[in-house]
Amino acid sequence: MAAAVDALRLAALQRLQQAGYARLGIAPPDFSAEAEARKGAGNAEALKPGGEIEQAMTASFVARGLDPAAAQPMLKDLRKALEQIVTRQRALPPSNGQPPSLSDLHHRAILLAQQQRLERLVDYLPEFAAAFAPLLGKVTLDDLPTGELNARTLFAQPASNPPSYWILFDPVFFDFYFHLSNAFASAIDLEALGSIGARYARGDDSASYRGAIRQGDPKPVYALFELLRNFTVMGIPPVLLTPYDERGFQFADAIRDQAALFVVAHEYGHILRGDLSHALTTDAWRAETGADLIGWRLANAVLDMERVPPASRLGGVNLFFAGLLLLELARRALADGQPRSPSDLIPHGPPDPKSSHPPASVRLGLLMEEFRNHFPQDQNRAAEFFASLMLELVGLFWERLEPAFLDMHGKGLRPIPVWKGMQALEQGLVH
Amino acid sequence: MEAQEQSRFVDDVVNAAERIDLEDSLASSMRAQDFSFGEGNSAPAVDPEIQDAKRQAAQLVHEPTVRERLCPALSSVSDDVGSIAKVVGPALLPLALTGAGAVVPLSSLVFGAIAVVIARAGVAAICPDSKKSAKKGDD
Repeated sequence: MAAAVDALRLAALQRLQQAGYARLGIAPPDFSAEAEARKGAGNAEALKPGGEIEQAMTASFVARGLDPAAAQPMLKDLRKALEQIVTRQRALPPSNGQPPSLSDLHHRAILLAQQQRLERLVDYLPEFAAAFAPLLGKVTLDDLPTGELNARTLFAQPASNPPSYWILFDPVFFDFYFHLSNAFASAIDLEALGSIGARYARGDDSASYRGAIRQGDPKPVYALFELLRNFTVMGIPPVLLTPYDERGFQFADAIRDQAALFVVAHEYGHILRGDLSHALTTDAWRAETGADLIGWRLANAVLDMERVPPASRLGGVNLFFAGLLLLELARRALADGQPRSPSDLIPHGPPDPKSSHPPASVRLGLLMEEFRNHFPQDQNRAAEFFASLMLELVGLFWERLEPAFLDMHGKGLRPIPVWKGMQALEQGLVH
Repeated sequence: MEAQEQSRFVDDVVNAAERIDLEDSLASSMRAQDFSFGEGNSAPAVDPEIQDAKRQAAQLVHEPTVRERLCPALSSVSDDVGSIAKVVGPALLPLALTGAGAVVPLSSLVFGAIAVVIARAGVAAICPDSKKSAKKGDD
């Protein structure tokens, strides 16, 4: 009986995914291990010396009267970027004749890992057991293309009593935060972050987070420009693959993993609060801040269980909101051509009745306050150091990016409301 | 309507039902963040065509002539939108084509909306006397 319900539920989810791709005008992708392997081999073949991509770039340079040798550094970057993807990618199990999956299996692995971390809290913290135990086996995490940088929680179909839930992430979430975390990590001097951060935590006010910023390297700004321009104007990830900074990869991986944990935990927060049953009547902002607080407490408990020091537990939260702040600045600059700084995004009046969520700055402030109320001063200072560093980076990045976005506005470019993501790029649906 | 056209119409009904199901699901979900910005309204986008189709569907499923045709066809399907949509098309197409009984518009969106209304309510609620509900009662 349970297996039959699971099969119905899987079929219903696949129908939803199919409808999601149809709604975006994208052919249903094939994410099987075999298709991924074919794609990887095709990319490697096209990027070989003298291959399809080198030929096309050479022809393009010659047509524009440029020296084709100038294409070589770009080709080198592309080859390096591809090598990084191949090296870091987790191996996928073969499909064994199953129909092609509509879920990106790499995304599903990331989500499943977060769910398993959260479910282990049942054994770690008895106080979670009562709330969490009824949800074991009742929550499915997966992909759903919606055109938004978002995750959603909804009742699974067919409906049941007690209910089951879907927590569904738009595939663009993973691409956006992958590139964003790499850009932030490559702008941070990790050694200085550790040493200066420790001094500040011990009470040395002369230790400035500015000392942890890697100065003079244009690559992070360029990577962010590519990321924000491509997503806001075309709704796709960066086209020109540039290799990420290997030095910061582990750090980037850790904070984006924490960001995914926080967002999954936020969605569990909605389930635990019962928000889905009151979606139309509840105070939307209260529901969101409530889910943020539960999400943070759950994520904090997981990180505590994994012996992550308290001061490092807000990394993912900071990355998540830093991404939203930069995105908001880029989209607003494209929309109205008005200059702004990150501080202009802090609301000064009453809540905007049209928005379902408080602004990112308010949500981040609330979680920092929550942290302050629960940890000793040295941990607070260390967390504050990292948060200040991330906000400083948002400001510094935006100082350099804003002129380009205002210029794009002047040329008539406007933010695209629907993000179609990697599949649209791979299927040649973006021009 | 030729057989090929009918078959295409039935496919359109299934696609429309899945589209409406998706829109409904998105509208009733909780999101991690507000994707709108500036002057944008964050309320979920509601397609007026879909709203109108759902309104018509909610009325049509209570029409006796519609139920007479639908309920026998629904007696052996599960409660999922896709399965229901597959039988709604062939069952109601004659009503739409002949104009006999209730006025059923020849619209795949309205047919799809009927499938969604039935799936949400459950076949047993729409067709209480069907074999299916009797079987459920026996269980």
